[in-house]
Amino acid sequence: MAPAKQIKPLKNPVSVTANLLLKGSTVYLKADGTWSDDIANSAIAHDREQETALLALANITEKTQYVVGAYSFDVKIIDGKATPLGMREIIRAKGIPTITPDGLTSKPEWQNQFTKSNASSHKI
Amino acid sequence: MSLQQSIQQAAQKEYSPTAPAIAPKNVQMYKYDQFDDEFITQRIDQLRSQINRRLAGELSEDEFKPLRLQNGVYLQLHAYMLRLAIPYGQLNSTQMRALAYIARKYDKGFGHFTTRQNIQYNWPALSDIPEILEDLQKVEMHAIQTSGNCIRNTTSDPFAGAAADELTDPRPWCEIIRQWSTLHPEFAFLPRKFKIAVNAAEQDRAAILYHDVALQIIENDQGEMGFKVYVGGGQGRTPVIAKLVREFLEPQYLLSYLDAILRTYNMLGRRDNLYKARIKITVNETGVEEFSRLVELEWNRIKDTGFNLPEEQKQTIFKHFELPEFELHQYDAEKFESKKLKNNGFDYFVKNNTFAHKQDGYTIVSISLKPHGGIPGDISADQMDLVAQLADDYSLSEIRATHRQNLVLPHVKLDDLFILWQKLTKAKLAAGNIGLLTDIIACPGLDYCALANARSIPIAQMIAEHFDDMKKLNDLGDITLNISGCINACAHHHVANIGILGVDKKGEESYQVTLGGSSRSDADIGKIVGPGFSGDEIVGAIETITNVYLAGRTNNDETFLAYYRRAGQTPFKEALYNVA
Amino acid sequence: MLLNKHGETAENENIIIKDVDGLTLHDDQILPYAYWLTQKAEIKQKLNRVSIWLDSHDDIEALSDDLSSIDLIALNFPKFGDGRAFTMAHLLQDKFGFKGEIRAIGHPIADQAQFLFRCGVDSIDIPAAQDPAIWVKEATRMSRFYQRSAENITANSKY
Repeated sequence: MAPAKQIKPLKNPVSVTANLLLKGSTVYLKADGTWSDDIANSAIAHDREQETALLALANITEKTQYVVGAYSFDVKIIDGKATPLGMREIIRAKGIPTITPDGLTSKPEWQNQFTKSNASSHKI
Repeated sequence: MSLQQSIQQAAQKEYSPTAPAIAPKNVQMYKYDQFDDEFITQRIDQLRSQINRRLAGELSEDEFKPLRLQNGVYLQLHAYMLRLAIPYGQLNSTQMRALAYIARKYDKGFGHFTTRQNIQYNWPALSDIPEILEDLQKVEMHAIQTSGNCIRNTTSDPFAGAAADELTDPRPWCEIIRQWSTLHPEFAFLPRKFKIAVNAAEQDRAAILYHDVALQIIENDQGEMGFKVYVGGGQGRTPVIAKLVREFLEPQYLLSYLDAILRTYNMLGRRDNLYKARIKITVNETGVEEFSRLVELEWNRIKDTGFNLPEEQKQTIFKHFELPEFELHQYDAEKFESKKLKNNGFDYFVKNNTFAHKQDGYTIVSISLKPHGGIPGDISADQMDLVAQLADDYSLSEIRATHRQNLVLPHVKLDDLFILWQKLTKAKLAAGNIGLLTDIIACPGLDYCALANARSIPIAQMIAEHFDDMKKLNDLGDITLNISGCINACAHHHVANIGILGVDKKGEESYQVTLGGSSRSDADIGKIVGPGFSGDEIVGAIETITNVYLAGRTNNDETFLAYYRRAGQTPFKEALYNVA
Repeated sequence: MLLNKHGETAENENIIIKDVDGLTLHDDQILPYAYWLTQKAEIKQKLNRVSIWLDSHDDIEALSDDLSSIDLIALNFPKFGDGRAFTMAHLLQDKFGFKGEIRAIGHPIADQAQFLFRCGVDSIDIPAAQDPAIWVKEATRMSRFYQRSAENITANSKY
């Protein structure tokens, strides 16, 4: 009898991300091979085999010049959805820096202050 | 609204009724001729076709990346980033208004001045970049060679052409180097990036000894001007101070000598390891004597047959930089002193933000881009427009960007200084902290940068918020504090009196402190003081370090660096880590 | 397909030899540098036209005495980012006065074509599977230069 196929485990589950080639913004790979700007929609791989499959799926759209630089990264699953692990991916997933022009992240309003429509907050 | 309309509208805002629609033509800077303009047109067409080939799948990302980088286009965490060239840090007011226009139209209403006297935008789309470059072309600017493994923007003294302590104006030489290096066919695919800096002043305000080639303009015993040439300086993971390779280079040979250095480096530089590819490693591994022997050998071959800029054409470039006509006037010293006495803020501003001008009655004014709690180097589009207006009104329409991420109005009449300060105050641009602890250099860090390991900007903001007492800051005096978010050292942490390096420590941001660096003529590389600190601890650590200095200095004249050089690391280690 | 500095293409009649085991010499071969160094005499004797290729780390100085007996020197791009060939072409042409043909082979990209020609390269072997039309366009992309090109040619250059 052939030995059971060894599937290499992952330390953490992973999702796959990339940037849109034309716009540059951060996107996440969904299970159907399309991309979302919300990490909560991302497909999650639990072992190396699934990770390889997701990266291969990402590679298909990378070859159509839709996204660039696809890679996998560690996530933790909360309520069945991926949330980023590590400061780099936390910042990427938010899509904006953790700072405001006028103050620190500790200010509670920072998350809403720095969107494109609110760029006037950077005024003098 | 078109660029032209925007510039006109900005110039006609309430700031001054006398403002010209377009900056006066007499600004002493290089002005494009038809050749330069046609060159830029062709270069933009080339980039547009490269982008189209990338989108059509005819260029892979690996092939496209160095091409876009050589046009200043990076891909960062959230978006593309576009770095524009500000040749040797010089801008006129029209160009500043164009930068404001680009910030509003293509970005999020602000820009970021860098340690290489350039400006970068954090949010452009790849598809917009050719259009941005066409707008820039209208004001004689470009983004060529602001990144990539090629010869980068030449940097220089931000006070050039104005400083009382300069031997001569270095800018014409920088312009000659800019043109020579622009799309130099032999040196577009070097082992690694290559940076040249020129200084002609007594003080080094351009950190020239940390460049791949440093040119110090000197006078020899016969009173002739020439270049003292240093090679192999750099920062990154291996900080090195440039080494002297030629005591005196006759100026007519500048370009053939640079060709010889670059050619030697292009052949010898390592291509097997990205981290060992800079010329500093080549010089260290080859030995400075052998490296300079090879350069001299090549230079002797080409000095008379190779390309050196003919005298007549050199003169044509120099003409662009002839000194402006300064008004001879007697400033009212008594009135000036009384204003200082009445306004603490103005007093600090004069003390820290002004520098001696070569013309009596004038001064050089630094505008700090490090306001209380602000982001070092960031400036909003409205602030850019205001600075442009102030340049028109008070500084012969000229502006400079500094390697410490500040701006400069180089030709301000002392009589105008008070009103200038009042207008800057209104725009939150009057921080009188130039050269003080809160004049922090910070890279974009993990908030923007794809290479970073830790955030830089929030640390800078926390330190600036903590040290917001001007009296204490002035008591601490001359201190440089630089924060890099990774070992690439974009914020020059190695050469700060107090350097902070963000690292990733098992998934957490951690901050390593170095002490004793200097980027001036007494150049030195800082040494790590001990284990790193968390983001919560780092402000306390800086407070401890400054307290050690305040308690230990012999008198107020002993600067932080002088104290450190005398006392060494021990008192700092003891205080930071409670070790005896 | 070969490309010249005027943006003209021509069929490539040459074969780049990498493996010299059991090689029978022909005029249309471009021979490896190491092979040339050891078999100079035989090659010179047997061939009417001598062509050799160099890798980017090969020492062109060692060729300087033999240049009059070589008709074509091909400079290899192991990858396009390795820019030593630009300087090698310059040195061959300017320092050693090589009068034969200088060719770029391997993996250059079209965007390097004009730089190569301006450094003294005479022909580029367009990598297989690439569209020659792009190379033709890029060969003459710019017509304004801040430097003189090889042989001190000042056409279209500012100085």
